[in-house]
Amino acid sequence: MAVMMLPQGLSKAGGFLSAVPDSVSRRNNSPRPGLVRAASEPTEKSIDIMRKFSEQYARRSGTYFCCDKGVTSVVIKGLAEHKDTLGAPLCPCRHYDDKQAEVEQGFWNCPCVPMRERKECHCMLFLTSDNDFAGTEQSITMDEITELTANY
Amino acid sequence: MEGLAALRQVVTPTTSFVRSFQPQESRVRVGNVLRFAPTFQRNSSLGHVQLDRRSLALKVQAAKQTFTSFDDMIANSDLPILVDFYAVWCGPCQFMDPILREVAQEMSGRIRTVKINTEKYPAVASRFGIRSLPTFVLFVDGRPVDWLEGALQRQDLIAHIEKVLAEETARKQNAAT
Repeated sequence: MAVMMLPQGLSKAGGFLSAVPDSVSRRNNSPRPGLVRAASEPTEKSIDIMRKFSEQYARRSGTYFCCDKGVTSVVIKGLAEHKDTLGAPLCPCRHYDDKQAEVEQGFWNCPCVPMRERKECHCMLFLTSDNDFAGTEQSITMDEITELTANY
Repeated sequence: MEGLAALRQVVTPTTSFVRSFQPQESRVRVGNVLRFAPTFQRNSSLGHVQLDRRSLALKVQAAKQTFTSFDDMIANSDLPILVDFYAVWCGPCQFMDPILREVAQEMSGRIRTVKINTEKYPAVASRFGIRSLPTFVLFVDGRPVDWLEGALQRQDLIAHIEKVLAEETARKQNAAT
């Protein structure tokens, strides 16, 4: 786990490294010269875990994915990314002062308390059928996720 | 959109900014923001001051650097600025990205739009108490006057901005009389 954490951890380490201008950090610290990344990528295993979780939870809660599956894909990747770097799928659609503390507190670990209590998901991952953005599907494939997030 | 490009130069640190901005730890504070503002002007005549700072060879913390440049941008803007606080893996934020471009185009000359990646610049986001993403904050004359959370359609966003701008104009007129 420690070895797997390193590639993602390096780009997110305490916020400092990620705060260094990309041109500077890539020149001096990049382990892979020539590879330009906009954001750190979650592992495929985590994406699949969160994908299955999302499908199951949508069925269980009677909610639906967004009519624009791109939104669903991005959120699933965000959950996977947090699972890789923090150990728990912290809500990707929030800003936190201390992510580790939030993980331990648990309020915003997906499925978050607002979702569990009131079916409110501001990430637009789980949408009740009366929502303007709700689609009709409760499933999404790995191919869909890869395709719809190819540009990030 | 050229306004947006000009602002991006301020918000996104470039190599030349990194070299010329070497703050001393003790002097970089929220209150002292304006003291560093001159170093961001490209035609600054403070050459001797910059040489001094360059020789200090301190690691630049870009979070603080854009901290001051963000304030600088907000304070010195002639137009209202719509700031979009987002994160890369936030679904609704990415949903709003093309919508924001359309709004910027439709309202160009009346407002500027700026996107702040809250994972790259967490200090700025924390300072404004950003929680849910996306959050749109409208700054008029250097003050935050409106706060919108969540995704919405283009027409709704434009209608909302128009309403706030009209209220601001009315408020200023009332204050003047």
